[in-house]
Amino acid sequence: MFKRLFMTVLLIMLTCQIGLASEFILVVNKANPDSQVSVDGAKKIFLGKTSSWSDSTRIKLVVQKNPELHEFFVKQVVRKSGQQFLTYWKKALFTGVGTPPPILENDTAVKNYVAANRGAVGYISADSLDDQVKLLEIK
Amino acid sequence: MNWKVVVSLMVLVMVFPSTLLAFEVGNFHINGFVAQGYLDSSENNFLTEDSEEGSTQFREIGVTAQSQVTDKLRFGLQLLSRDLGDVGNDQIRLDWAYADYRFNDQIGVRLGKVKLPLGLYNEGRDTDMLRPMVFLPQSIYDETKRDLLVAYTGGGLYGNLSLGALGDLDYHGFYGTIAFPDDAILNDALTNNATFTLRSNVGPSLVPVAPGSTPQQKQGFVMNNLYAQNLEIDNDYIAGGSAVLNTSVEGLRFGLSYLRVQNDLDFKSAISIYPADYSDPALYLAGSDLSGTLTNESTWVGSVEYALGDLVLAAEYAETARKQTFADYTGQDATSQAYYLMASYTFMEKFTLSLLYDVFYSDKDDKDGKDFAATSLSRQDFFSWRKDFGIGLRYDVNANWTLKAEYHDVNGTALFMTVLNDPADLEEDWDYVAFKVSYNF
Repeated sequence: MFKRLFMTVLLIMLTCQIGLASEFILVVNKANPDSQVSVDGAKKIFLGKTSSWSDSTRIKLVVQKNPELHEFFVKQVVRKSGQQFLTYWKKALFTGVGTPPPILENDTAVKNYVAANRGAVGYISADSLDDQVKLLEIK
Repeated sequence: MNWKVVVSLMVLVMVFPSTLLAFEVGNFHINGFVAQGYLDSSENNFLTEDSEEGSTQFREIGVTAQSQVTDKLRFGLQLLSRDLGDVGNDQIRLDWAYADYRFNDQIGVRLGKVKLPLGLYNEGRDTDMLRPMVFLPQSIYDETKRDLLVAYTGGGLYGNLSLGALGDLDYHGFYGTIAFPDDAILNDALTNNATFTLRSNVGPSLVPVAPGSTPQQKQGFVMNNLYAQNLEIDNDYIAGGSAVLNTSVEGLRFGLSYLRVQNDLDFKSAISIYPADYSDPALYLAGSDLSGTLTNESTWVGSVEYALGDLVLAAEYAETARKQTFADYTGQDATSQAYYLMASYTFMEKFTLSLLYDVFYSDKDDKDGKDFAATSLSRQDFFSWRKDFGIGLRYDVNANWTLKAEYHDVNGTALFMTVLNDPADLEEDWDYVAFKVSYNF
């Protein structure tokens, strides 16, 4: 009985994870030669530990104001809470090693930023993808 | 500047949103922070000479300017004004300023005044919002030794290395010098140690030749007049490195840091330390120009942090082998031991509850302080350890405002508390509360 209940809860949790995980995608500039990144690679990009793309263009991060999407993205990809992610970048800021990514209003603002900056990368809702930007698939 | 000015500044920033204060043009950024605290201790003064009455001399204001000049080159600096009792007094000082050239993700170089990597948290020690509690654990991040540990002026190599299944490694090695402001508590502590060392080693040879008609008068003259003054610390070098392994287990990281510091000391004794000079008052009253050394032969810190969702567990262990000499007499030659355990749990997104157990021994081979206390009637065994149990609550109002409150129950008075208190009045068991409000933009 207990085992069945546990398996049911686990299945529901996994289903929710998969459902939610498909709600965001990474997008890059259309001129970016990279089309795929590993989960660990994406994490290092958003922590500033990987600073350039394969063609040596400097990576420019951007994040979103949307609290649900942002919180979910950093938990899934960076493996930090929103507060931990903020503290990580504030530490970089106040010790001089980096500048926190700009926070943009919504998917449209992210796509406009990414389209205008060759090295930019951001996350948007999956259903917002259009030909303004290019999908960076997380493998 | 006093606390009222800082509070007025905070009211001002409440009126203006942070986006108006943070300045950004292209690749040039200006940011900053303001923090005002309140410190209240019972039985003993802690960090300020008036904390028993409640002290507002506890604040920091920092302004940071930085620019990513090219893809690989960035410049930055931070001006910092601090007040912590008699230390800082709101003077604006250069906290860090350096050029950073990153050849690639594996290696970069920093030149200038650079935040010193030690343990997991030393680089962020001046910014309130970066730590869960008002104070970092004092056994390792001792506020009275801030000037020794805050930054080096020189060059450093840093980078991030992928280690496959092990994870990745952040490293930072450095060589340079450090500067000590005259108001550092460390100066007062060293002056006290120099006085004690001179009285212990030279005093007995001066008593027979000292002025006075009775042995008691001669003894009294030496004890009242033989003391060290005008002590200056001149750093020869500081060198070390830090490596943090971010393991492939999510949230788990290990750190190892090492540093070595060599300083020369110059000071003057109030009366001559040479018995031959006592034939002429003009000679012995002129005092003696003396020198000494302050050496951290090795400081190493082992660290582990495990972030499990909203729960962060951290533990660090450190030892410092240090030696002090004054006029060729050994004032201290011991290895200190420090460790702490800290758990921080974030709930309802904005609240973080922290528990801390923090332990420091001045001499790991004399943990009960008996050998230390045997050197003088004025020294008590509990001067040589400090055990601090703390509980704190942090409230992140939003991304810019942070409020903190905490209570610490402490046993022992190591870490230079004899400088801020009359040693005869120090109590073994004491406690303190700290409150802090901070704003960053």
